[in-house]
Amino acid sequence: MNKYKIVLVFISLFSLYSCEDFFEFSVDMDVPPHQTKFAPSTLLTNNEANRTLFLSRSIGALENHEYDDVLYVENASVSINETPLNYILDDYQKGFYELPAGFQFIPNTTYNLKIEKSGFETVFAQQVMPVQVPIIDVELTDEILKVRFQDIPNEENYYIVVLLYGYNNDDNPIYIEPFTDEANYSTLTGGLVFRDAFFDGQEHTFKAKYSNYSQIGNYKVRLYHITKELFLHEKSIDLNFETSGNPFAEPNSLYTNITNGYGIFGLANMYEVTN
Amino acid sequence: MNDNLFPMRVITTFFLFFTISVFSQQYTISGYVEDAATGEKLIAANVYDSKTLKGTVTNNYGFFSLTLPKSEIELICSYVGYKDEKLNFDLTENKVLNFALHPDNALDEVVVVSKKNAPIEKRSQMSQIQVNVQDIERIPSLLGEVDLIKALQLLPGVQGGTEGLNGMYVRGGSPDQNLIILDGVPVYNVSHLFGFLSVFNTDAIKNVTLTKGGFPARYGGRLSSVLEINMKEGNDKEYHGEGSIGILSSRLTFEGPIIKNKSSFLISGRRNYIDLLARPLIKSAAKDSGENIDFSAYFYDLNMKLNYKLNDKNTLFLSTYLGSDRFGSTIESKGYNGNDYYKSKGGIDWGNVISAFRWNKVINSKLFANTTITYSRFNFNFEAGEEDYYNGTLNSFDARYQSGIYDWGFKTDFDYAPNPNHAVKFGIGDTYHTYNPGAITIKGIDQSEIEEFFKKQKSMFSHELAAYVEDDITLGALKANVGLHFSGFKVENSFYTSLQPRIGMRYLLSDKLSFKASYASMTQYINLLTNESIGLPTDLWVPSTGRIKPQKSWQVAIGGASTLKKGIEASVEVYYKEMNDVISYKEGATFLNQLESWENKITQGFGQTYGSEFLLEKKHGKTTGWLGYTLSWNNRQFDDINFGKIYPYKFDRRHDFEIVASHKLSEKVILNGTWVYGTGNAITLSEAIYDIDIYNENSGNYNYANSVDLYGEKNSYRMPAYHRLDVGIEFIKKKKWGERAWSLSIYNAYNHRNPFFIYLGENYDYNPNTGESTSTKAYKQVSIIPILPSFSYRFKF
Repeated sequence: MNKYKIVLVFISLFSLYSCEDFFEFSVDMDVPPHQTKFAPSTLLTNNEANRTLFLSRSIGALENHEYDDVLYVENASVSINETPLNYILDDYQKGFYELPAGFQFIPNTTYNLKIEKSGFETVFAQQVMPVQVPIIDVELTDEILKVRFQDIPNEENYYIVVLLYGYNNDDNPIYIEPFTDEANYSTLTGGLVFRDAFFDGQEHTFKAKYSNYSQIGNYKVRLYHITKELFLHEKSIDLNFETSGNPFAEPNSLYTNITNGYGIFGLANMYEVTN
Repeated sequence: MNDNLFPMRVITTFFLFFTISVFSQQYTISGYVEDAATGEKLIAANVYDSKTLKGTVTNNYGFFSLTLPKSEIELICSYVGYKDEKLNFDLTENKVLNFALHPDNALDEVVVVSKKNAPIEKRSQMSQIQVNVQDIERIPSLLGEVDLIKALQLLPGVQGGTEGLNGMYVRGGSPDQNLIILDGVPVYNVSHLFGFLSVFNTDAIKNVTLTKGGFPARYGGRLSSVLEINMKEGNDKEYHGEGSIGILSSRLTFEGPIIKNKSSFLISGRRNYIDLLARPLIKSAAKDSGENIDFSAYFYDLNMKLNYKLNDKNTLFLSTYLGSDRFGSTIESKGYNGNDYYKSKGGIDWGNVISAFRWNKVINSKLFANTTITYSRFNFNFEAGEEDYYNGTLNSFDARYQSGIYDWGFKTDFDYAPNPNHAVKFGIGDTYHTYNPGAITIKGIDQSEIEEFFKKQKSMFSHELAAYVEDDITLGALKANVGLHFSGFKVENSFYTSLQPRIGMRYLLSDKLSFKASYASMTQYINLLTNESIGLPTDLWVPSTGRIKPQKSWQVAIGGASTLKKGIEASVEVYYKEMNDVISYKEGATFLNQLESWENKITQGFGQTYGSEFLLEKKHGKTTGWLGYTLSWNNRQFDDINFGKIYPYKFDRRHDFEIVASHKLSEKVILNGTWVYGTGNAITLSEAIYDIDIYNENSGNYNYANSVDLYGEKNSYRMPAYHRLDVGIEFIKKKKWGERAWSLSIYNAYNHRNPFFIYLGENYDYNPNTGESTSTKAYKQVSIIPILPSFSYRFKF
């Protein structure tokens, strides 16, 4: 009978031992200290719509940072093919650099981005300006957007389609939804980004759904012919947002083409149709 | 040398191997080996001539065939836990001998037991472990629930995935790469209670064999392991029962003869009863707040088996498994006027139905046939909905999701034993699969207008054919299992074929030490779409198609095996495995997106695993158990994941150590314990953040910054190491009516906080003086299972 008592006491002691902070608590992970780096993000075109570069800086995941504080860098030296970009003085949107007026990208030409500032490692990136891919026609019926264009054969091509409507003289992208997961949301433009894997060299009609709650009257449709690097970045950013905060989701790495830094230097040749 | 004669020479040599015995006057002894008390056939019992040491083992149905030269022989039949049977006679003609072995109750006291089963160093099969069901029942378990899969996780080369769940990762393979067969029928989902328990009721199980590599040619269809489980046949001598009462569930088994010595049955059931206990309490509490709540949270399973011995040469078997889980609730509340109401409901259920009809036929003393017709079905259903009736207007919403897989199969297997140096197995089979990858139905009533939505992923059908031949060859100190497995898969307009060579061999370096080596290539045509974190019943079985190629692997292993002092078996194995076209969800893909074809959601890539395993096992004596250690590497590479760079698999575990021990203090008291240690799972952590230029949907402006998490390389960090001690004690008492045992066990005895997942969160500090709180960022660990004492009561009559 003593054996039974011993066992019961044993179990009771261990049951009492359970503590409240068992289920969730801070843990030290062997993450190396983070060295802050430049993190530019931009999609540049010849059109007025996309002429700015936003320059952020990285901070370690454990560094305290207010949610509303923007991580921007001002007064850095930013140049493309040694042409300096101008820092935009704006109290509300800080960290933006603008291409000088008259600067035009030439298709199939290589462009080099360089960003310098004391206290940061200089970063570089390179892009080749894609050629323009014209839209053949556009159709908006039954809340379905159809954009027809001719893909360039025998090469990998990447695109963004954006639907905008005019409101107070501003261009406002309308949320469009893909029919397949072959397209991802483009964070830089508010459109959809996709590749020509299944229609190489063919005439293709890209379809997307939109909600006609705003009764679109005047609209614009843009087709950006973008670089592969920009495509990879946009796709990875979209998945990053989707999986953020979900401990069961597999987090994805962010694509970058910035040497010594993070972010994206992307070029695109845009074609626009207005009704 | 004339090359044209070469094939003829090969055939002649092969033929000579089989017929040489004819010229030296050989006779065949054949028959069955069974438990004298129950009539249960004994698998892998040893039958040998003690003078020449030539022998064989019984097959999966207890049948043996041994051909020996005309002579005076001493035939011994032995099996672990049973007394040897010896027969001396002159072998002058073919003989049929059936052995009925008696349990040896004094066996535990025997320190050294030799030749009970073929010692590990004598077996040509490597990377295979036979697990004793009694050992499994003694392992201390979570909430006192004996669980087969969790016991297997304690073996070297086998890892559990997430804490407390029954995922099984064998030599780096994923759970879908395990062929789990119950009485020859594939089981597609082995989970009860979302994976906390497996569907296998140990009371109904006779035999468990896990093969991790060096697969004999008779196995096919999966890349990483074969878990073969045989149900008991039922006592054909007298009626018996056993059962247990535990915290989570209770089980009861009853078996006995239908016609004594000719026909028997076994029926075994299990059910949990949380819902039965909690339902009245919840209903009562809800009534006080004016609500009516009904909920279900249960699982059950039922194993049944019938067999009928037509005559000495023909036996029929029918085995069935039914099991299901159901979790759901309905909440209803009435409006003040008595007419209005609001009702919401939701739930999921899933389950397997498995059945096999088997015919054993002894064609002649050397040839045995087993023909089986099988059926297997796995279904998953999800439903959610609500009804809102207000002022005479009904608004409602009802959504259902269903998926599943159904199989019909037929196969015939033959065992042919031409002489003691050859044991040939060959067979053919076909399985017809039906896949329902998911259908979603949504029905809504808005202001009395009915709107319906239905989307069904296309059902698919396939034939999976298999044929094999293998020979267990003995050539002096060399014993080899050589075979060829052919498989074909017809799906839509595609037809895949695969020829898979298999070889396993052992060479006796001394009487106690052998060298072993094996090579096996495998092909898998059906795939499980699952996330890497936890196995849910939402996981989908889907076939290879024109777009999705079959998964293929090859594995090579070398090792050594020896029986040390006191009957301790030791083995060391080193293995290397490559897997091509393994599948994974693309980053961000989810089963919930029914608008997308499942083929678009997955990507195929490459897997590579290698490592070494060490096992010391003591099967006899007062103290029994094993000590296992695995050192392994496990990597994956997909073009669409991690930018195409190779990365460690989530369950890449460098070190995995386990010790399982049972000590008999007396006939009445047994102490049990396990301790496990494993390198932490690989995880991806957010290392930094930065802001990007983003179009903001809410503000309608470009040039608005938003933070993004900058993760390190995929799976480049490690969770803290996992370790856990479980202890238990069992008090056994003989009663007039049979035997009863109280089991007390403590899971995670030193209350170690093992990681379930880690995330980047915040700690909040409140300053009572200023009334302000500040936050600091921190990596936070979530653990789920603290120290858990439990008890259960078992009985046998």
